[in-house]
Amino acid sequence: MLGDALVAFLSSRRAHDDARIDAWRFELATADRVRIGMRGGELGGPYGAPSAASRLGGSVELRWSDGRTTRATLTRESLGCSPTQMAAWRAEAIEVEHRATVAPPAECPIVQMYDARVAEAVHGSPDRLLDLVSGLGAGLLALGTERPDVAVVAGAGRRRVVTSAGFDLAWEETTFGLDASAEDLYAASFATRRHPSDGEIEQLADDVAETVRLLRRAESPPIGASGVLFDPTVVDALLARFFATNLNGRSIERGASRFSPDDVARQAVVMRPDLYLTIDTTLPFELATSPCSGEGVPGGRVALVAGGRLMTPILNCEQAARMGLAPTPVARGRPSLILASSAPPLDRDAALAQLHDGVLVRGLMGLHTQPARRGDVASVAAGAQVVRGGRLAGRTDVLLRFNVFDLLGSEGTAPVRFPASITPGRLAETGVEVRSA
Amino acid sequence: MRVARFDAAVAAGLDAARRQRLFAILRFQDRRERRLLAADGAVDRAVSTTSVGVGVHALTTDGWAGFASTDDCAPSAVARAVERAGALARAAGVRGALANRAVFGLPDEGSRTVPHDYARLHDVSIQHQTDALLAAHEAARALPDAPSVRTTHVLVDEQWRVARSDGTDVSFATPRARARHALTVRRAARPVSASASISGADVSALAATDRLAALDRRTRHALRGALDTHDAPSIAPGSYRVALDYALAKGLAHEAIGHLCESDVDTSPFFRDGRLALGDEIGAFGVSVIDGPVRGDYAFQDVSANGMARGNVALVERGVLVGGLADLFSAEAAGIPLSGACRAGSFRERPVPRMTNVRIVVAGALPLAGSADAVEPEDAADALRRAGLLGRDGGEDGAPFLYLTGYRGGQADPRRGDFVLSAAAAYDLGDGGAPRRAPTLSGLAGRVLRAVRAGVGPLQLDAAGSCGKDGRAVSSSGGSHALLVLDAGPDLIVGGAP
Repeated sequence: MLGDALVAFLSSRRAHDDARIDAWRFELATADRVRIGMRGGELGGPYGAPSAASRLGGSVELRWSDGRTTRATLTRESLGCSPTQMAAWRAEAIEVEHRATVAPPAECPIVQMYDARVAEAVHGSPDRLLDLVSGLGAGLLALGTERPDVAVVAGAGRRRVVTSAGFDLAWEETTFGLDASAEDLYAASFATRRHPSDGEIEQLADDVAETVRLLRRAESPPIGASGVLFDPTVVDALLARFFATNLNGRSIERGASRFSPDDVARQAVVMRPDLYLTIDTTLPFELATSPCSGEGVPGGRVALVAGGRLMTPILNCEQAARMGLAPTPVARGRPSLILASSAPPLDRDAALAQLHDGVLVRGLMGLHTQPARRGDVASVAAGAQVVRGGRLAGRTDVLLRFNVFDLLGSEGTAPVRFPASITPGRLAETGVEVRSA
Repeated sequence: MRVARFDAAVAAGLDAARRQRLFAILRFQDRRERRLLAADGAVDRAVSTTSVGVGVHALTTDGWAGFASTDDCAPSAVARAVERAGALARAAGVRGALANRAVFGLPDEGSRTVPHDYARLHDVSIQHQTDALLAAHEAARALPDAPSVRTTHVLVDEQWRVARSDGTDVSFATPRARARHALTVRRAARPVSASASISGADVSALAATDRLAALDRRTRHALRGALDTHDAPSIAPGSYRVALDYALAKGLAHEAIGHLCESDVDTSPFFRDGRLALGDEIGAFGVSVIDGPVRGDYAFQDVSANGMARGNVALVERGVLVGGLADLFSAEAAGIPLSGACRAGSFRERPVPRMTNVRIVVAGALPLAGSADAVEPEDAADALRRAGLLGRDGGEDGAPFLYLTGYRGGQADPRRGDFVLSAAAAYDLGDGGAPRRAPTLSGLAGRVLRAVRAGVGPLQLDAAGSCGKDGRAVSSSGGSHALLVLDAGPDLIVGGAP
């Protein structure tokens, strides 16, 4: 089994110099991945050559009897478990105070993260994926687009998390990403752990073709437009930038977060009372899904914010022990945070009608440079889509200014359900300054 | 070099390529990294990372390409990777894949190891690195306002070996090191944050007295900027005269110029009909943009990921577009000479043209008193006033003139030509240096160089960061004069903040 030799090696309580390994944990994964791409309607090429990757690696933490700790990556070479490797690990040890023990055995949820069809596409002939990319590219051309870009990335592998305290869990996992765009105007994606159905692929192509058709025409934003509909990918990016950063337990403890330890203790109001912010690693076939974290924290669904109140920071084992709270599950991909509302979401068309005149925003440039603690955003939404009279129209570049925390604390926003998205978008009728860029 | 141990794997890979009638480029990478983090007086974390593997670009005689990577560098595994890449190339080829036969014109450049004198990671004990880290860390903690400090200290010992079917086999190193403080001070129950860094090739760049003095100077400057401006009034979005510090100017050079000159981005505004529009006037007279490796620099790389030598390339000379960053696969199509510009962050990536150290140079730079890497607003105002660019002599007394300092990052879309940069602090020199909330700058990349009015002070080229082109990170750096002055114009909008 994957990692057995390493388990045996570490379990033997090996010594080096005057110290021996008292406790340890590791995460080890093996994965194969295939990527096929088309750029501007042309398959492959030197920059987009079809590619295959094979990897074996992970991370290890060793706690030595003299109070030192080693944290290192696992590679094919280090898995040889040689005396030289032990010396190398020992040489990288430093004194670190630990308040948490390595994870003991725990019950982890059974989650869906393996699709045999994806594994077959990865390990078998590349023809299936080549056909998918060629077919989708041809389909986009047939739907009237020019210069289509298509990329598929499929991966399959095994992962194992083990600790010296008896936690030991192994599983198989797959990933599947399909991106389609055309004319550098609009891109749509399917990114999960399962193969898309034929219907989902058709839906993706139709979405790209219809949106590109509208976006070919450059327009000015409607005069006086002040409302914005944020696409789910933008909402996810805003949550990752502004909430994941500020909800990090270590940042809160050392005063580097917008939120303080006192905010945590008194469950401070941080959003509107109908809003819930959760980590959920049990969603079927989502990239976030996993039975446990690399430390052995069981997966699950945890509310970081419930009814608008701060319930818990994001905590690894060590930080959880420092703050006297339970560690939180770790999402391994999107959606890393989910913003939900007790109010029913609007359908996208209803949201467009309610917005009437405004813009649909699908991306914000330089979001990673915006001040996370303050929550201010002043950014260009290039390639946004005009909404005029409740209907989608042409493309426009707008400069947006708003404060994320103010938006989520105000009554002027509402959740919006988008087709083919597990996370909602958000309609902001007030609180966003829109200016032609 | 450590990559010398791959002799048998190189032979096996090239032999497999011969048998399969393929042209192969084998890229072996051996990367060792140690990252230390100190927080509030103690070392909080040390992580040692190792990444070893090979990426194989295989091209059929028809010019169809396939790629495979593996972290198994055994000869048999490398041979299998070559076969896999070849199979992918042929499978795509029969479906009409894009062909590129540029590799078949390459000369045999022989076998060589590029000498590079730097401290290998295994020669730097973790204790030595910890001592250097804590010395810098304690200095930052002792600053006025007693900031909470996190200091990261990263050493990367990276070696590459690129072997090609034409017989070229070149080994080279791309070491780098960086120390960075992230500081937080609470004001009115809200955190105020600042950061500062120094960088270089190895641990010596982080421990030398002059480098520690530079880190201290930059840290004080960044902290002052954050405290001055955190509750300052916003700048209304619009066009203003601005003076950018060298780090923001590096961001401008990187996002607004360099990316548009890369030969694989053939739809950028600097291209016409797929070819770089050499001879076009894109900047003010006297403005040049240069990219190329600087020894000892954080982003140093003097051999391309395809095994060719890389040197300085003038992209813009006295306002005229004169060159581009071209690699093997797109130089000819872009109509520019091959400049060995391709880079990859990992053996798993297919390399693309990337910058190393990019800088904006203005002829006849004006003098500056004081340090070029941490220009205080008073010094900036003084230099601009002496040059007649600010105040009565400048003819716009009282009109806003923004000094923007501290680079928080940026993003560009080279195909559309728009970019966004974020500053860490702002002062209105037209209003006596009054602080302003840190703004965002946005604009049209193709035209922004026309607004350059002057360079002030010496060149400062160590603004280090990471470039994320196509979602793949490589080290980047560059700079400009201590201050780069731009006139107000519609192609550069200072976007303000709420």
